[in-house]
Amino acid sequence: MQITVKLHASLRPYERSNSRSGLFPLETSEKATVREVIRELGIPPEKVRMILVNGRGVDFESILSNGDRVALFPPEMAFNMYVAISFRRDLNH
Amino acid sequence: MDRIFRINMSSLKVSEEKVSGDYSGLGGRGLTSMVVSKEVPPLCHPIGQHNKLVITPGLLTGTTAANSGRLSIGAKSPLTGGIKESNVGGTAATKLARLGIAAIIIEGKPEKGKLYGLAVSKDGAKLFPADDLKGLGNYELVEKLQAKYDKKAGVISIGPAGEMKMAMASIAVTSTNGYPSRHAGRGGMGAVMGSKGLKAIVVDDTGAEKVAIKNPDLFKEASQKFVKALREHPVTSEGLPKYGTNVLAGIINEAGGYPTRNFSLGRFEGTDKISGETMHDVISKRGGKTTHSGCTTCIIQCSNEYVDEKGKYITSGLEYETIWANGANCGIDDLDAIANIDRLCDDYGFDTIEMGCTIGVAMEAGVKEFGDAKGAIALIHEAGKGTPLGRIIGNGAGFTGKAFGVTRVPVVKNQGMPAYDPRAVQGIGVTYATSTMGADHTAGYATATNIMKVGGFVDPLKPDGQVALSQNLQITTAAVDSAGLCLFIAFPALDIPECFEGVIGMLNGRYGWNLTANDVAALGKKILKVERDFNERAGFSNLDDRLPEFFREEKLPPHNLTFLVPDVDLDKVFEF
Repeated sequence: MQITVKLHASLRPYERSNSRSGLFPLETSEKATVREVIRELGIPPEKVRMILVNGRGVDFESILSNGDRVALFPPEMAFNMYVAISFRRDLNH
Repeated sequence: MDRIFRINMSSLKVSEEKVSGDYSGLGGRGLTSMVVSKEVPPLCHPIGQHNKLVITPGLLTGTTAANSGRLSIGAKSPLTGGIKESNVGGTAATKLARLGIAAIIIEGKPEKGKLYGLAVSKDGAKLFPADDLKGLGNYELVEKLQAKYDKKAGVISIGPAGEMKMAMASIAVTSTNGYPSRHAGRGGMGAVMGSKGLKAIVVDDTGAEKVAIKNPDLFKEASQKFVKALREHPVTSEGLPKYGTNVLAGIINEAGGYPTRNFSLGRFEGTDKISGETMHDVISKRGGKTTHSGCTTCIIQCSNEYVDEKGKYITSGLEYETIWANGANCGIDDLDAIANIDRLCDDYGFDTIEMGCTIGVAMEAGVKEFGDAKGAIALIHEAGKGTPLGRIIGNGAGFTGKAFGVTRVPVVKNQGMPAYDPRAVQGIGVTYATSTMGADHTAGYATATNIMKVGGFVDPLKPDGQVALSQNLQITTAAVDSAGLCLFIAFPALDIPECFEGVIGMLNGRYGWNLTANDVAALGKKILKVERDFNERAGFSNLDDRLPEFFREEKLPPHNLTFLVPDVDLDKVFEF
């Protein structure tokens, strides 16, 4: 299946295109998890602090579907602020 | 820090008194709101003789505490008709605090057409005639005043917008680079200052003594704890300094809550061209400053200096809200144009959020096309010059919507909405609706979930839990605004417990108090109640705590949701 990946800030060097916008399509296996995609891109997991799939906060074990848009944010961008708090699943004990 | 200066603009007399009674133990927003509540008749005309402009540094301002250089400016707002505290950084707050000044209260009204300045130094406060400064933009004004007084003097000033008493007029405060680029933007405080005939306040703290600390050991230990947290946290030590507040553009756009073309879409196709990452690259390439400390004592350094292609300074502190309001919200994806808009707003003295909201509404009306950057700039010049069209624009989004018959007008209590759409971030919708300030992101922006024991996951797309979250955030924010601390300390405060312990320790060390976390929450509650009470006496009710109807009727892509928090729940925010 195919998904779209969007990498932000210090994750940009891991992108698979020359667009410099961090946005690119990626072929993955059916029912791949976010963790598997992060591994496939060669990103150390500790460099990812916030994950949005189709604009909603999810965790590393979320299972992806064909056509999903996966956005990854590094710690320096993972705002713990009023709006962002609602996206960061690690606060959901 | 117990001196209050009263500047009577009717008699042109300056008097001094000591802080006492209801004003004791307060600073920043707590003090501005208490003075407005006690001394300003709630039904007075906001630009008439009975309104008062109150300027106060925070409780920790003037000390060596990191990020303590915030200034609160309060009055009855010409934009909302309710109470207002507009918060600003820069250099002036620290200087006032070092001079021992807890508040400057400007009251009365001078003879028509007369303009004055106020010089504040260790010798006291003195009015001077300023008719020769009439009509000057903030940049030229500050240059003149600093040449005359002291190059390092802090200047609090208004541009032509404030002189014309426009409802979106801001009050400028000089940044550490000497430019008037930090603004108390929201709520038309510049119009109140203009109505008092006061063009500028020059603050020179030469020869001021150090602020007294009751318990230096406790203060030092707490201060170090606080600094360590700010330096450790990735957002305050890396994200904000590198990308500025505009680091948020990518997040909010991705989350589908980045209001686009006057709140008609939740994602902007041009976000990459105006994002924090792009801005960082552009500024670096041109030799500007990607990192800059805009406010005295700041160690986060979220500010920047944006330069043109030749490396010439355009503006400083190009912020997320400004870039969004005059960018995505107007369909504009040209960062240079937005930087110029920021410069023009700073010079004329306009609130950049209200300006962007207003231009968005004007574009909706067809006055200009969405995406027309030159058209947007032309509208700002019209407003700055006070042409008939400019008088409409200068009075804000609500006024402009009425003038042009627009129904999609994103305001609460007549104040334009900031850069998060309440249909994709339902919780901030609660804050917009219920804040005593009108639509204000900072009123419930500081998070402190573990301090306030909110915790848990609140889905931004669902109504559940939003009221409790907003209530706690509004309480905490009112307290942080009183300490004179930058709201961004909230990021480490949530993740690192020592951060908030440091804040309480610094307050206790500074004043010899024995505050606990509960006392801080009690202070926040007290301030909100005072503000709420003023608004009730000014004619507001729970029916004013509502979002405009289009948020309940128009679904916002990409999540295709409306605002879902029921009215009965909005009415519970102030049940504490």
